[in-house]
Amino acid sequence: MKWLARHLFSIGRPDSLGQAIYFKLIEVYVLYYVITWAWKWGRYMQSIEGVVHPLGIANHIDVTFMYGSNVSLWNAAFLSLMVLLGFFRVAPRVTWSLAMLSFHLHYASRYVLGEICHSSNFVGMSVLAFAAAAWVTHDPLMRRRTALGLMYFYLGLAYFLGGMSKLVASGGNWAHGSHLWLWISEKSVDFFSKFGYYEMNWIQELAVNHLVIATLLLAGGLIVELLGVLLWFRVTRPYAALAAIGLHLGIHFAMNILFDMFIYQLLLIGFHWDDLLDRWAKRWSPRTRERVHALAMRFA
Amino acid sequence: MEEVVAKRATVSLLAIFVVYTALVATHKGEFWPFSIYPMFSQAGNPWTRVVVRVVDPAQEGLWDEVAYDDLPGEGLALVPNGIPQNDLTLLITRTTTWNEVAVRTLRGVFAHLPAEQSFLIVRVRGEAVEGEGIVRRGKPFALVTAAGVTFASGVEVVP
Repeated sequence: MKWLARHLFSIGRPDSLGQAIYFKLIEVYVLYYVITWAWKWGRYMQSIEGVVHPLGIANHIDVTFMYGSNVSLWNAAFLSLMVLLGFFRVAPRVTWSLAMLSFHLHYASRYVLGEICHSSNFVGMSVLAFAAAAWVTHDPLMRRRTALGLMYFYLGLAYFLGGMSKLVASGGNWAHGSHLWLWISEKSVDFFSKFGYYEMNWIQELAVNHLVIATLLLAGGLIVELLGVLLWFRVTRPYAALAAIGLHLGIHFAMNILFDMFIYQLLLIGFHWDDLLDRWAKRWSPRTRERVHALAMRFA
Repeated sequence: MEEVVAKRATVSLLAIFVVYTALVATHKGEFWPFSIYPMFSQAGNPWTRVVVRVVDPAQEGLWDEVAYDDLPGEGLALVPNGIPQNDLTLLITRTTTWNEVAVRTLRGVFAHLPAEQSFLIVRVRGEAVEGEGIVRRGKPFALVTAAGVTFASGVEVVP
């Protein structure tokens, strides 16, 4: 565990300006989506009549109070305020923790009709990572590294669990190409239902006409998911991220499902953007570097 | 200092992991943002999706089960009409007993569309059949009109 912790939390790695800027950029990304969903879901909730299929906390408390008198919009405002305060390091332990609770309530009140949406899971895990890191330490550097380490771990775990779910539910035969034919057929009905038209693309035609290609596509996807744990290690992270992005593009072309939020998250935390920022910062004048450093440290 | 914080960070990781495991184990694999990500884990099973057709409610044979390509009326494209397709599909496929809240929710999905139109909700089932490939058949489930919701026979409705 100690060995894994050294990789996840970058123990022994010297700090740099690039790392500080990079972490704030990750926070901006999380902030943007939390606030966007807070208001989008808040408005949608106003048209919900009641809870049909509860998820999360809605299994234990009656969340119908969220549907009247603009309560969902008040929660959206509260959630937005909490993440903004957390971003600017105003009582970060309290604000990020309250943001997590409010975000969960918001999700559990929005998804009550049957859909189990996973698009927001990684952003939700990031908010949880920020809250946990704030409780672990006040030291800005270690807080950043704790949050990032938690994000790497749970992102990698998500892919690994996805692969394991398939093996547990269907065994090694999961990758048989005929299963992809069924899913392509299912998604063609979905696509037509959504947009009123549907046409197979060349990847779908290849998969439908050649069992071996369909099998290779599924087997490749399964292997990439199981190798998601490689996101835990700095050396292998970019390769694992690239493979997972390839997996999502494959799913998009083969089954018309775009997991765009997963791709964004992988692009953001799967590559060593901090090194790139450091190289870029070297070209700045000392005065500019000083100013950017002061700004990054002010809310580190 | 770094080692001490790393130890505390590891404890936080393990604590979250324990909570994660406990919550997904007791909530059918989902407790946002925790999940076992079970999408597409069931391979080879028949699937059911939902399509909506704009129909004439007086049409003969409206409630007959037919091949997917022979469904009555015209397809309603859900996205341009502001209907979240996953919400509708899972509402139809996961609801076993149609109580007042579920029926009101279903009506609410179409509330913003022209009242003079009638919407036939059809469950489409696909399965691999030996020698025939993938066979898709549509079975009408409910008709939503300005007057209310009429369910197909066999659907359990609680007044």
